[in-house]
Amino acid sequence: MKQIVFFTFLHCLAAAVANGQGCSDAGFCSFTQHSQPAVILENEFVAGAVYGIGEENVQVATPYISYIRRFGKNWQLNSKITSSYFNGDVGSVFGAGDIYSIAGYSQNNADKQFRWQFSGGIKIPLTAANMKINRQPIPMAYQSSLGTYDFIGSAGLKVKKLDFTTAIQVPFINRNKNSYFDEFSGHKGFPSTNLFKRQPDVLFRGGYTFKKKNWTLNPNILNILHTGKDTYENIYGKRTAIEGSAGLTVNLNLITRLAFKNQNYFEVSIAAPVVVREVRPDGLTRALTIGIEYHFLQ
Amino acid sequence: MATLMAACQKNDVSTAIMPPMIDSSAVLKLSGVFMPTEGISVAGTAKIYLQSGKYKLGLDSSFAVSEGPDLKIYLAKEYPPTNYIILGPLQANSGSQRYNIPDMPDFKQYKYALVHCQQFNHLFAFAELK
Repeated sequence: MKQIVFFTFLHCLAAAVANGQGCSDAGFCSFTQHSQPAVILENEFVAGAVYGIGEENVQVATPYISYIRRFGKNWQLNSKITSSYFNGDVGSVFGAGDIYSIAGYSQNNADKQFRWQFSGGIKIPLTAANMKINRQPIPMAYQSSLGTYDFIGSAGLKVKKLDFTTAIQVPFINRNKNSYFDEFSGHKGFPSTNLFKRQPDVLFRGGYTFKKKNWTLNPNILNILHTGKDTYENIYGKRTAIEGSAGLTVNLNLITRLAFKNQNYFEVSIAAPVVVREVRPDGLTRALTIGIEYHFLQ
Repeated sequence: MATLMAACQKNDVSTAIMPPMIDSSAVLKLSGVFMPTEGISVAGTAKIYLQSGKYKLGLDSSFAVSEGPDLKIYLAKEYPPTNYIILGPLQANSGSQRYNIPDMPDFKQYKYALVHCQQFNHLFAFAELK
C-alpha cells in the first residue's frame, strides 16, 4: 500500500514538473522543518543551491550558506544568507538576496510517538528589489530579494512517520523600491510592480517519511495561501491592487536524504506545483525547483 | 542596507522600449529650461509637442543631468512631485530623448517637467512649461 501511494505521488510529481507553473516560496518553506541529529552536535554548517525555472522561463540559481547552532537538546538558532543569479529574455543579473535568523525549539523525545517543533524569526532584505539591466527597471522575477523585512513563524508536529507543519510569513517593513512598469517595457509578460507591496503567506504541509538504512525519502504536499492581493503604484502614483494575485499554490515536493556515518548528510529536493495563483507578480513562481544541500555537523 | 549591497549584471538585453517618434507634423505647444536642485547639474530644455492628437515630451540634444540611481521623467503639478504622471525611466543621462504622454493632461495644472529619483524620493531638476 505504501509503495502504491509513493509511486502515485511520484507520478503526480512528474506530471507537475511537466505542466506546472507556480511553486512560490517567499523563504519560509526551508525553515519549517528542523533537522535533529541522533546525537546532539552543537554546530551544523549547510551549503546549498536551488535551481528553478521561473516566470517566462527565467532560469534562477540561488546559492546559500547556513549555520545552525544548537543550545542543549531543544533549542537552535539558524542563520542563512542567500543570493540569486537570473538568466532570461530580459537579460542576466546577479544580486544578494536575504539574511534569515530563525530560532527553533524541538521536543527531543525520540522514544515518543509525538514531537512538536516551533520556530520564529525574521528575514532581512539585502536589496530593495530594484536591480536594473542597462539602467532599465526589471520585473520582480529578476530580483534577488522581495525587499521586505518579514516575520516567519511555524509550528510542526511529527506523529510517527507523518509530519505536519503550519507557518506564516508576514512582511512588517516594506523597503521594496522596484520600479518596473509593464507599459514602459519592451518585454511583455510581467505585470507592473512599481513600489510593490506584498501580502502575507500561510503555509500548510503534510508529509510521510520512508526510511531504509541511511536513506530517507519524504514526499510531502506543500500548500501556500497568499492571503490578499498584492499592490503597486501606477504612473499616477495611485496604489493599485493586482487582480488574481491572491490565492492558493499547491506543490508536490520530494526530499531525499543520504546520511553518512559521521552524521553529515546530503539532501536533494524536487518540487513542482499542481495548483497556482492566476497572477504571480512577486516573481517567486517556479515551474520546477531542484535543490541540493550538504550538511556538515560537528 | 540595501544601498550597500551591490548587484552585478552582464549579457544585457534589458526591457527598454522604443521611444516614440516626433516628426515634422508635430506642433510645439510648450517648453521650459531645466533648473537643477542643490548639488545637481543639469542643462537642456523640455518640449511638449502635439502630434496626431497625442502629446509627447522631447528633451533636446543639449540635455544632460547628473547620474542618479533611479531617475524618471515626471509631469507634475508641483515640485517635489505629489500629483504627477510618470512618463518613464530616464532613457539616458544626456542627449535627445522622447516620451509618450498618456491621456490628455491639462498643462495649466501639469506645468512642470521633472527629473526625479523615485527610489530615494530626490528631485534632480525641474522645468516650468510655458
